[in-house]
Amino acid sequence: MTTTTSTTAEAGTAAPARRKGAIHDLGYKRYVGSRRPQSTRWRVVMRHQIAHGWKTWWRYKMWVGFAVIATIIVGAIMVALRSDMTAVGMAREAGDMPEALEALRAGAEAQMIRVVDTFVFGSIAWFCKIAFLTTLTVGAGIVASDLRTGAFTFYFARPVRPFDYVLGKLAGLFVLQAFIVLVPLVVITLVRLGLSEKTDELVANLEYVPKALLIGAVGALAYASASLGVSALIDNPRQTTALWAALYVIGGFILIGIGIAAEMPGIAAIDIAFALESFSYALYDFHPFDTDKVFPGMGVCLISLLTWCVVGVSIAYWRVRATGAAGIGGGS
Amino acid sequence: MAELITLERVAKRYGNVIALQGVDASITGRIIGLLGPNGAGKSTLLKCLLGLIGHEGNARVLGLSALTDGPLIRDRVGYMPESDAFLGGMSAVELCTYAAELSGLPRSEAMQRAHAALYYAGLEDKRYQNIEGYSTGMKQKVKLAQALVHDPEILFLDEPTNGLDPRSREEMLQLIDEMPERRGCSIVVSTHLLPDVDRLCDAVVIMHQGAIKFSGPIEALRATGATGRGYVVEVKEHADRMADALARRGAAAKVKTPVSLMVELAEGMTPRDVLGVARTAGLQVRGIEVEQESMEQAFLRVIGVTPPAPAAPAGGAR
Repeated sequence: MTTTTSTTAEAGTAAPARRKGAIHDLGYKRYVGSRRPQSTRWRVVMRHQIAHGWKTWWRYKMWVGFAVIATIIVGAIMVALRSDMTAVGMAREAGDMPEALEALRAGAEAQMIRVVDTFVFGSIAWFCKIAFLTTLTVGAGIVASDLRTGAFTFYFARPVRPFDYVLGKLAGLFVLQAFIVLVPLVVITLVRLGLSEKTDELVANLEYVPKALLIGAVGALAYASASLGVSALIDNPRQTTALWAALYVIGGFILIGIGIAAEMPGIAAIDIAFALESFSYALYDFHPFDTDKVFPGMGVCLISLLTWCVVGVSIAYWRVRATGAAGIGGGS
Repeated sequence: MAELITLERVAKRYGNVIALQGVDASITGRIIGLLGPNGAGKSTLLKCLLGLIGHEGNARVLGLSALTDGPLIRDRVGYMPESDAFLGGMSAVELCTYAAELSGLPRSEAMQRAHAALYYAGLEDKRYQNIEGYSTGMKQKVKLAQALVHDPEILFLDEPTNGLDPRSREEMLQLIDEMPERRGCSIVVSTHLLPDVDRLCDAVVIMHQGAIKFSGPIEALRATGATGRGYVVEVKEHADRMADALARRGAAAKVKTPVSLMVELAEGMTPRDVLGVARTAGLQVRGIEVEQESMEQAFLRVIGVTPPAPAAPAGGAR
């Protein structure tokens, strides 16, 4: 961000003597300092978006609280189960899962891992739920709300381009979502590293950190851009929020159901949460029994998530650009 | 005075519709009225000037090209829209601070100027309230404050007194009138309210069917329509008798009130002859003024519309 030193100078014309009852202006002086470069105006939009989200407890703070609680719970469980091992990471005791036991007896290759690792792989699913709830209060109504209140006239009568607006909103949402998805994953990963029994194990698992960063970043971006895109579809923020909720919950349920039933993981990967969870498993090379037919591969997951991002941002940009300056001069 | 806006063959088409048909003008002044009926091309011109839409020809604002320097122009001009253009859940001071930051001011300066602009607009007591709870008059003031918070050199005001009660309208007109001196900016007012233009503006741009029909000082506009032989004559009493006496000398006289009449002098007559006629008729003249064309008459004349004939006053038109 460019910081500028503001200097002021007296206006060329002297203000007339204040009349009784005249509205005063605190002694106006012409601004002669430099202005923020055009290319950085999107950061102002981003900051505003973050501040707007943070302003009311129910819009964002509540979900951050949920994420913090979830992280603490996961961390506590990890500490409690720090010495346990599991095959495939599904059951602490084989008796809990007869099929797994049967497979092991039949000679299937078991993937023995520490239980704490499964939280690193799988806790994304918890945070996806909180991320979705966050989009309902802070993401899925953004553009619609601005369309409704005439905010585009406010923005585009200034040196703000549609690109600056969309980038600023997206970046703001990303930052908000990062504290729901990315930060908790990194914290859990650090807890996992802290629970390493040997230095070798710690060093070997250091790669978890960039992986957690990647999963968290992709997840935050996917939720931010998808909800931003849906928010640009209709002028009514309540309707866009309802549409997004229906798409996510009902659409996701149907897609996952079809994907699993038809053994076509690609269809299930259209669901953002499922794609993220699968992406996490694939990234950590974690393959529970017979799950290749259920969980799609890393490439499919990435394509799905990036498609959500591209489509969401494209819809938002298209709508903002099309509507942009419509209100300017329109009333005269 | 330096030219604020220069237009050279500026044209804009929307498909088959010609919104601007190659307009030329050099616009300058303290407060400039932008007039025209609906569909005249005012909105399109405004968008062109702000660099929001492409166009043919060359439009320059403060010496900057609207085609290539749109963002720079928008840094140096303010725009007060007619319709509401607020962001949900914000107070006036938050909105104005945000507006100033978007216009490139550093945050501390933006906040300081937001308070100052709201003081100037008369919202000092209410500036921390949510805008959604404001009255129409207060919203107009917030719109004005957000337009001038970044210290623009030109302010575009779109129907600034629309929907205001008489008291709020008077306050708004006073604010606008004082602004060029107190804030060092020029103002372009787009409005349908010709009395507002008459009161505020020293220059006008009149548009009709995508063309600029007139651009220049108001005096020049009125001078264009004046015959040079029209006078308003005030008498102590019996304006009707005065009208009769003038008519006998060949002048066309129309009684406005029992003590005033409009007179179109006959060829070769001078105002001194009016005094002579009054003396002969035994009437006392209290004043003779050159007839000024009203804004409405001038506007209708420029756009080529015949003004409707006024209703005959009591005493009969002559």
